[in-house]
Amino acid sequence: MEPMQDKLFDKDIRDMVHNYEPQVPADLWKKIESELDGNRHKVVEINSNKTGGWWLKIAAAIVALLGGISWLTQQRNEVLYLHADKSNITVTEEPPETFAQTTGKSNIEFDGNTSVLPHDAEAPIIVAHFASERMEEPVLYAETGKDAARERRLDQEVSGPLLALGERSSRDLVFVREIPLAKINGGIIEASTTQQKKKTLMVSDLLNYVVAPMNKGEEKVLSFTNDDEGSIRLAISLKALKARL
Amino acid sequence: MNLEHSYTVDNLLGGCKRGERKTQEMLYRKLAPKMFNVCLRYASNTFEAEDMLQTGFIKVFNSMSSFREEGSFEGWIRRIIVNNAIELCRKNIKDSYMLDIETIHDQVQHTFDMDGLEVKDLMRLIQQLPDGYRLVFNMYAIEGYSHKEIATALKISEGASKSQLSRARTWLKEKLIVTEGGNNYGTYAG
Repeated sequence: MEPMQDKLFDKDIRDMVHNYEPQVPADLWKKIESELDGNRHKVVEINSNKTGGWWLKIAAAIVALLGGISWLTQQRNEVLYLHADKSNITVTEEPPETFAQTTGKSNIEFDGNTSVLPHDAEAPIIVAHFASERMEEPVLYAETGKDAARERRLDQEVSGPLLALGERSSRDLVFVREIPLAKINGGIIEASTTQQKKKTLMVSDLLNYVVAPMNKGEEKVLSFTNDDEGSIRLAISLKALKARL
Repeated sequence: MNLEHSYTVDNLLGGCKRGERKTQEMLYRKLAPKMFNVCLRYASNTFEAEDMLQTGFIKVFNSMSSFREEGSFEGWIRRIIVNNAIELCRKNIKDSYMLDIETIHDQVQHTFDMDGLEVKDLMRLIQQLPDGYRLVFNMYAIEGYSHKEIATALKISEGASKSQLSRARTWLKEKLIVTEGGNNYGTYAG
């Protein structure tokens, strides 16, 4: 329990100092104002530069692109790659019935020297492509192969799953189908072979192109990448952002 | 600059939130003397007090958006100024001033009369208090913090807070009864 005298002492001092209003230095407001203005200038520099508000424009473009991509990728095609032992695969000279349907109108003779898919494995590769219902035109599937086969095309529509068989042999590759890129509702199908690798334009490349103006310098402020699942990843470098500020 | 003083602090809230420089200056002119009072008590000298006031008002203007308009605007500003002063004091305090001394010797209690004391002199004496004594005395005797709250804020024990306060009182009383130029700052009434 605090002695009464101590409480009274505290109270007396408190009462004396409570209403005291000392004179403030005349130049103190100028110092406060200049510091506030300095903070405000930093904020303004972020929002404008020589190109005038490029930051906001690019951010708006990114949001619009992401929204569009999200809408476009709602329906995805599934591509399954199965690797099987050669001993378990029966390679027939004649194509399966479904394949025969797809090749019926082609001017390519399917023989033992013709394969329909690129492959870089020891074992044959079976690929099943489940086409989207919304596809109206043939689909670009895979390419490469030897020169003769590469020039040939099949102009056919496939109504059901497309089976293609390849084998590491002297077989060449033919185009199964072809479709403009814009018609593909799913993600972009990437094909690669031991002989040739086709570079696919990814969404992240487009976004990186859009944000290129702000990525001048050694470190990039914003960068986009695609992962294996088709998602787009955004990386923000705080260090580079701070350097640009 | 001759500014109109018929406004209240609450009238300036909207303009300050919008970052209007003129309104901010009006708020500063209105409250600076009271807040400088706070800073002078916590600081060890006038320069330190000016620094506290400057940094305190910068924090006030930078955190305008966080004021929820649920209590007094002036009270909110004062809390920011006080907390800023406490924070700056803590940085200057030497650990030796905050030793936890559990045993506080009983002191002879006197009734103290401060009628002859000028407030400026009192403020000067408070500034002359050792750093730890001054901080705890301000927080307890003038701001009204409890020993538990002081212990939490300064990361000391309650015992250390009590001992600092006791020593501060003793120090002040001893100074107050010193005669200077024939004038007593205060006298024991009994």
